[in-house]
Amino acid sequence: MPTSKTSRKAGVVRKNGSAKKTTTAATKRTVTKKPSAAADALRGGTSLAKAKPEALIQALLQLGNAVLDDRDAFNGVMRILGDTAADHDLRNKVLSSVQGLTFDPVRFAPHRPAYMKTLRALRTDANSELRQRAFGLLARENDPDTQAMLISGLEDAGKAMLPPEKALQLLSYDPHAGAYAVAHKIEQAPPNPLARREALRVLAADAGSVKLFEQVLGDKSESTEVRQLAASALNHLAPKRMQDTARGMAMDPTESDEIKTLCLTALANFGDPEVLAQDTELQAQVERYQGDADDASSLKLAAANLKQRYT
Amino acid sequence: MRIDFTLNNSAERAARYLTWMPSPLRMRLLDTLPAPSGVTVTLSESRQANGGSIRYSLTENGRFASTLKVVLPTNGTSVTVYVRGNYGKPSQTDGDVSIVVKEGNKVLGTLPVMVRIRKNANVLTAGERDRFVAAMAQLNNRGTGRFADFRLMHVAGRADDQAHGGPGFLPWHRAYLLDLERELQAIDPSVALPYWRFDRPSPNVFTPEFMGLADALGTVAFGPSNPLQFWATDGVQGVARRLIGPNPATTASSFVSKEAATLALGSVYRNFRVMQGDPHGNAHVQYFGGSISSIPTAAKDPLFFLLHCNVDRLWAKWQAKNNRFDGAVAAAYDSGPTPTSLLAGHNLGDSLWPWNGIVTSPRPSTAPGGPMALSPCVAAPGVSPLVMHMLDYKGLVSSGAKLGFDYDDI
Repeated sequence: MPTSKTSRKAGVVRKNGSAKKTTTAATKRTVTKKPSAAADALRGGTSLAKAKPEALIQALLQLGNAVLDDRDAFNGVMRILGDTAADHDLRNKVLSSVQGLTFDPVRFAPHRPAYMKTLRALRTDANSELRQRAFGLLARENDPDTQAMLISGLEDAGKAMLPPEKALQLLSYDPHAGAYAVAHKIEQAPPNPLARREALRVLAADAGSVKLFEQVLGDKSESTEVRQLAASALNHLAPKRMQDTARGMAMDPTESDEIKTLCLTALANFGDPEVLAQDTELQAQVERYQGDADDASSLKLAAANLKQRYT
Repeated sequence: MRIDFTLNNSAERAARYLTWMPSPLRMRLLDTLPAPSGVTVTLSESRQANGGSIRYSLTENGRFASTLKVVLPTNGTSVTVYVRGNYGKPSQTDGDVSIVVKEGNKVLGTLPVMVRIRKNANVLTAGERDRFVAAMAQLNNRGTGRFADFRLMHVAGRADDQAHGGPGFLPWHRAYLLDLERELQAIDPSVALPYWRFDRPSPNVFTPEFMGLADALGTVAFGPSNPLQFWATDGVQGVARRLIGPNPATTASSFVSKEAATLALGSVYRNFRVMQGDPHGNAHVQYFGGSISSIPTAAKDPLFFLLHCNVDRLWAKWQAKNNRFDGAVAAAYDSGPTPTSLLAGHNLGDSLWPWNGIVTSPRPSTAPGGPMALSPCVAAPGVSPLVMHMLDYKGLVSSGAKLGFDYDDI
C-alpha cells in the first residue's frame, strides 16, 4: 500500500514524455505530515464509506495535482465518482477536481483511459447533474458514441438520458455530429421553447437553414432572444444578407429598440465601412437615434459605435 | 518653431502607446532660428479628466519626474529622453494624456499618447469594456476571422503538449496572449487584454454587456449592443458556459487558491509552476461547465482569455516578488538537466510553436496563425519567439527585451 511519502511533484517532461520526479520544498512538508484518514481512505487504506465527504474533498484539495502521481489515490477518486451510493454533491465536486487535473495533460495522460471509462459509465448514472456533466465532457471531446446516444434520445424519448434542449446544446459543439435532421424535426414541433431555441442553435451551422433564419429574424412575434439567435446565425451563414436585413430593420420604426440596437451593432462591427460611408439615409437615421434616444440607452450607444465605423 | 516627435523609435500614430517601462522619446526643433546654446524646453503632461499620467527622465534608468528640462539644438539634431506611464495612473481612452513641450509658457508641441495597461476586468470603464468586446468580435468575425487561428493553437494532441506539457506552460501562454493582444490592437490600438481575478467576486464581468450571463441550461446571453452576441467558433454559434459552482459574480470559489497562496508557492519556478493545477486548472472548472472546462474547447469562450491573462499576471507578480526575469538565474525557470532534455518547446532556448512554423514531430503537424504579430512600439520578441524571450517581459534584464505590456498592479 502506498505510504504518506507520496509527494507533490512538479512533473518535468522529458523528450519521451515521461515525468521526472522532482522533490520540492512542498514535498518535504508533505512527507513529514501524517496522512489524514480521508487521504488514507482515498488510497484504499480504509473504507471510503467511512470517510466524511468534506474530509475527502479536503484530502483531494491537499493532494492537488500530486494525486496524478499516486495511482492508488487516483483510483480511489475514480471509485468515488463511480459510487452511486456516495453523496451526490461529493461526487460532483470530485468530478470538477478531476476535470481540473486534465489541465495538466502530460501527467494526466496515464489516467485518461480510466477517466474516460468512468465518464462513459456516468452517462447512465441516476444523478441527473452527473449524467449531464459526463455527457457534456464527452461531447466536448466530439465523442462519437456520446453523440449517437444524444441523437438516439432525441429520436426516441424513451432512450433519452437528458432533456432534449440539453442534448441539442451538447450536439451543437460539433457541426459534424449529424444532428441537423433531428434538429429540424424539433424546430418544427418543439416539446418546449428551450428545445426549439437549442434546435435553432444546432441549425445555425447548417448552410441549408438560411431561409429559416431570415424568416425567424423578420418575425416580430418571435421573442427577442430567438430573433437575436437568428441574427447571429444569419450573420454567420450569409453575412451579406444579414447586413441588408440589419439595415432594413434598423430603419424600421415599428421594430423594438432592442432589435434596432442589435442591427446597428451588426452593422458597426461587421459592416463594410465604405458602403456605410455612402449610405446617407442610414446615417441620417443614426443621427436621429443619437439625438432622440435616452442617454443611457443601448440604442444610442449602438448608434454612436456605428457612426465611428463610417466616420 | 515646432517640435518633431518620434516615440518608440517611430513617427507612426500606432507607436504612441506607453507602459510603466521607459520608452524612447526623440525630439528635434524645426523651423527655428540658429542659437549656439540651443533652446531650453520643459516637458510636462496634459491630462484629461481621469486620463493617464506620464513621467520623464533624461536616461532610461534615471529618476523619472513629472517635468523635465532639456536643451534642444537648433541645427535639427535630435535629443532622446525617456517617457513612461506614471504607475497607478493608466489611461482610460486613447490619447487622454499628452506630452507637452514648452519654451517658457509657449507650447512648442504636444503629442497625445496612451498609457496602455492590462487592467482588472471588473474595474474597466464602460468604454474600455466595449472597445475590448468589439475588437474580440471583429477579430473573430463571425468565426471566419483571424481568431480561428487562436482556436486552433489551443487544442488537444501535440498542440496540448506544447501549451501544457511542461514548464513552458506559462511562457507559451504569455506568447499566445501577446499575439492575440497585438491582433486586437491592430483593430483598435487602445485595447489591452483585461484579466479576470478568479479569486475574487467579479460582478462587472458577468453581465450581458461584457462576458454574458449563462442561463440554467448553459447558454450565454449577451445584450443587444454587445457584439459578442454574434460569436461563433468552428461553425458553432454562441458560447456554452453553465454555472456548476459558486457564481463568480458574487462569490469566489474556495477551491481556487487565493493570489497570496499562489505567490507563496515558493521562490523557485519549479515550485511555483504547480499553479498550472491550482489556481489555473481549478479556475477553468470550479465555476463553470461548458467550453471553458475542457482543454480542446476552452478557447471557444472569450472568458478564457481573461482567465489566462490573470494566470499570466500571477506569474508576472511572482517574477516581480522574487526577481525572476533572467533566464540565466536557475530559479527563474524549470530547465532540464541539459539545455535540450525537455520536450521541444519547453527548454529555455527552444522556439515556441506555432510561431516557429515547425511542423515535424514532436511539434504538431500544423502551425496555425503564422509568425508572432509585430508591435509598432517594441521590437521584441520578433516573429519566432523563444521560451526565454517570455521571461524578461519588462525589459529589466535587457531593455530591448520589453514585450510592450504591463499590468495595473505590477
